Amino acid sequence: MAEIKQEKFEKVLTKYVDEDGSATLEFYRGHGGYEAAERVLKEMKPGEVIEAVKESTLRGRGGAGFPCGVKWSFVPKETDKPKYLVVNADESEPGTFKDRVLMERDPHQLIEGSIISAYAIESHVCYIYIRGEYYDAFLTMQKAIDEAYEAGILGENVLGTGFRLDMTMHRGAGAYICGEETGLLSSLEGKRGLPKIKPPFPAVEGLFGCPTVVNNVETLSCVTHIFDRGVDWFKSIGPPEGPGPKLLCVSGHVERPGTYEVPMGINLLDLVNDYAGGVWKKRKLKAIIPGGTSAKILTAEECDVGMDYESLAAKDTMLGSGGVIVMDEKTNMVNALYNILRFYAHESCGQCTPCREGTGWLAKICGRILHGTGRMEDLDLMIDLAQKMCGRTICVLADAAAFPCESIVRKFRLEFYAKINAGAGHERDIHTGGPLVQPGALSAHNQERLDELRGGH
Amino acid sequence: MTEKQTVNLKINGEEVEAPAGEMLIKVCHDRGLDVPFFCYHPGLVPEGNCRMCLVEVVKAPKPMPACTTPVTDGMEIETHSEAAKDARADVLEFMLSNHPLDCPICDKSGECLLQDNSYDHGKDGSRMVDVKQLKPTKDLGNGVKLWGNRCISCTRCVRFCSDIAGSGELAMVNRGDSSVVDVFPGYPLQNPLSGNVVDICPVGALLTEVFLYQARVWYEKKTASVCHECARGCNIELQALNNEVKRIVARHNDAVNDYWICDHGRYTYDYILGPERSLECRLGDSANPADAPGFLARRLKKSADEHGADSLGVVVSAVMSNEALYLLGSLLQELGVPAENIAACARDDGDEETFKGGFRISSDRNPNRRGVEAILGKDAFSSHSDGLLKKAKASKLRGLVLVSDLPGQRLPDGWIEALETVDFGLVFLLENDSRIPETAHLLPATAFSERDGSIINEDGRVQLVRAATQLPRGVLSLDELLQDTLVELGARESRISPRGLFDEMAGVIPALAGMRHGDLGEAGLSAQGGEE
Ligand SMILES: Cc1cc2nc3c(=O)[nH]c(=O)nc-3n(C[C@H](O)[C@H](O)[C@H](O)COP(=O)(O)O)c2cc1C
Ligand code: SF4
Ligand code: SF4
Repeated sequence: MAEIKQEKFEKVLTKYVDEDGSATLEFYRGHGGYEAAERVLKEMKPGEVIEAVKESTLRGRGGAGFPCGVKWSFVPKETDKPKYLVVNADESEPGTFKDRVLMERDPHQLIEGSIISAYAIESHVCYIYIRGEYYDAFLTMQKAIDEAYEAGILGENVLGTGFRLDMTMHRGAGAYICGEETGLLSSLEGKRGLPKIKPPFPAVEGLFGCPTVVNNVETLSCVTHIFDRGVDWFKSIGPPEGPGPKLLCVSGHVERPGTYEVPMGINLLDLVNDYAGGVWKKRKLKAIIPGGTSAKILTAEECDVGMDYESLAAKDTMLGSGGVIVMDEKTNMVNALYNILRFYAHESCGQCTPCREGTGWLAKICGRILHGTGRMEDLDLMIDLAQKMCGRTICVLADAAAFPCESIVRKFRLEFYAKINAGAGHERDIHTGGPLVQPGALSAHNQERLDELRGGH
Repeated sequence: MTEKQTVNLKINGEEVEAPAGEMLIKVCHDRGLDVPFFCYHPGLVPEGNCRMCLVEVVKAPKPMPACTTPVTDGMEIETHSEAAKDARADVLEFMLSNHPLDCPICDKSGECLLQDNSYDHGKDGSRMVDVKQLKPTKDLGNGVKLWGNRCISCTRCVRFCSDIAGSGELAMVNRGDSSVVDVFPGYPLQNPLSGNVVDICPVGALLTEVFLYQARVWYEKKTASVCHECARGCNIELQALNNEVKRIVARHNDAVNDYWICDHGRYTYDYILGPERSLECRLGDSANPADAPGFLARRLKKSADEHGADSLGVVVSAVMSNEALYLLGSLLQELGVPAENIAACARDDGDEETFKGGFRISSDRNPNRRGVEAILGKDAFSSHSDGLLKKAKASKLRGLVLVSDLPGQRLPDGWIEALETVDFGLVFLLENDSRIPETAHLLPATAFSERDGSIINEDGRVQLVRAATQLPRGVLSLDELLQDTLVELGARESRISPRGLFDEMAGVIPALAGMRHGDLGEAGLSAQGGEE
């Protein structure tokens, strides 16, 4: 894999984020902003823009890694319905905080990328669906949009080219599932954020039943630079199957957690050691989740891997959202998994049977093991349930819960044994053979219900 | 799309031709294949959330839900491969993991999709040892109760309220395994079709208050019949236990009511055995219903002989069956009574209501108006009635037979006054009416659930009404009584079956020409000159 050291790589997406006033239009224009968009809108046809993005092999940065230009080309050309561009700024995958930097510190970069993308798919309306908790990013983005309207960069006559584009922000209300593109669109339509069965894909039948392209903030920000610096420049960075600059969010047990812009394909250990200052407190590395909690975990021995789509797939995990979660030797993996599983149990939208019931069931079993009433057969049960949740639901949240579960139980089985053994000797329920529920194990929801039923007494 | 195109696919190795765009589950069900489901309902927009209908699509990476997968050319499907069966058994295990196994005290038991699918497709034993989720038990409105713990989040009820009733009271609340159906505070379930959610809930999560713990469904006698509350003639199933109608549920008929009925029809059966039901038999000196045919024949003949046939009048209702109308018509014809002396009394109009999904409640509350018109003529409701009343006022009416069998509605005063002026008055009475003079003779009328026959709905569809219960003691079948009377008069040889009666009638009544009882089946047939 490409071994590019930190100092040799020129940052583009986050080039200016540490500078004062980087979020203002004046700053952005002062550094060549909106020149690419103006050139594209004046000199290229929409079809040519799509071809260029296809040629660049830009892959989605939201999680699935789908080729961006290919997705755009699915939008029907001949249609009398309006088309929509939707920016996925819901950023809710645990361990992920890259879109936030882009929106808080360089909002015009995203607006410029969105203008080019909207032009490519011939859309005149762009929605930015932003995570509700990102209030600062929302204010900054909104200010930038207002500035852009005033300067004629958005609105009836974008950059004097006659192209029309309106851009509207919509804030989410704190649901992970509203990051899944069809769940996002349901939410944007004013409904519960429930994912929908694909096909039809959003590119054909999306927002309000019209052709819609959903792209991640980072993906669209990349588009700006593909047209600023050229397709060849973009392809020169990282592996050909998915090149370009990449933002990786390093969190967990490292000395310097944060968002780092790196060339695609950087070695994971280099990222942790050179950029993030290595594992903290001089401790040893135990494991890394490379792409948000939905990705399968890598043990320390497996971490010598390139951070790109193909290399990670070869290790049976994924680049996902780019959320790199580092765990040191003192991490209790049962606890870590319980934390992850509780998240998915809480965030499952509840439509599909395997996900609705499976996420909660897994969390209960894991919680039980953690609280000392686990049984040896629980481990096989967890793996079995996780496998049975995969590939059988409307969206992939079920898979996203199953992946960490299966991989952590498999790879750190001994830690689970230890917890179970520590709790062994507990009495069993004489009817079911199950462990007796211990204080603290009653689900939070049931406690809430009981409180409610008692009428607050 | 222009012409309906077909595609060719393979299901379990067999070549199948199916209309393009049709969902796989329908194609499978049409071929008799058992593809189980929960959230799928042929009358609702599919959502594909329960995952019970997963089938294997050869070359597809994942099993696909048959309810939302349209058939395409060249597709190869395995509905019963190990992979497909496993996928479904796994879904069932998840489904049951939080389901309370309270079948012994659940009203749905015996007609529960979860029970049936578990027997047919599930695994034995359970691996769930953890605490199950608790969800509320509460009233949702309109007498519908929710047992949240039993809800499997299929959203059938939610989709019904939003897409068919159009009122959208129900929604899923909470997420994950806390998901459950609920109403918004202050906005209870209150649409006029609300009872359908109980019919379509695949489990015992939604139940009606009035039927609660009334019967084990497998003990009930179930009878396909037709609702008598408006001129739509929605198809229903009457469910009875120990000769009591315990509940009415919707029965599917694409040509009439799809899968739905309105609450009015669903919940109107209390009068059948209600406190107002008249059982009195008053035939001069006799209180024995067995004397009725002879009594009737004698008195009508006497009246006709003494005062002329023109002095006899009859008032029928538009809930009576075609057969009863036909027999009454032939009885009067036999006596020489002119056609205009037969009047019909209509039920008052109600509100016409059409719902989002196309379901309609007719403003005409007469289930067999079309039958009266077809057998006795269009003027029965109007000029015949006026004429007969005028005759009574002028004291030219000497004998009068009234059929007062409209549930919840008594005869207009004019007819009661007319009764006072005649020498011979007889009322077939469904519900007590204190205005009827002592001098009038009485016989109990039958309720629609107690008789076999046919009626014609407002679109001209002829449908069979079937007896769900035996006649209460002392009540005579009107059809049999009229036939026996005709036998007494020498006009018929003997009583015949309802089936024979229909076929005989079809040979005489132009609107029924060409129809045979055996062809009416469960769904009925469109009558001659019908609007379909
Ligand atoms: C449960 C779930 C949550 C997701 N959350 C996000 C998110 O927060 N942000 C995002 O950009 N994509 C998210 N995605 C991925 C989107 O569905 C979609 O693939 C992406 O927005 C497409 O944009 P891209 O092609 O530019 O990556 C999520 C997917 C799933 C299944
Ligand atoms: S997989 Fe889970 S989150 Fe996704 S649609 Fe189904 S229930 Fe909802
Ligand atoms: S109440 Fe019944 S119909 Fe409604 S979602 Fe629950 S199980 Fe389905």
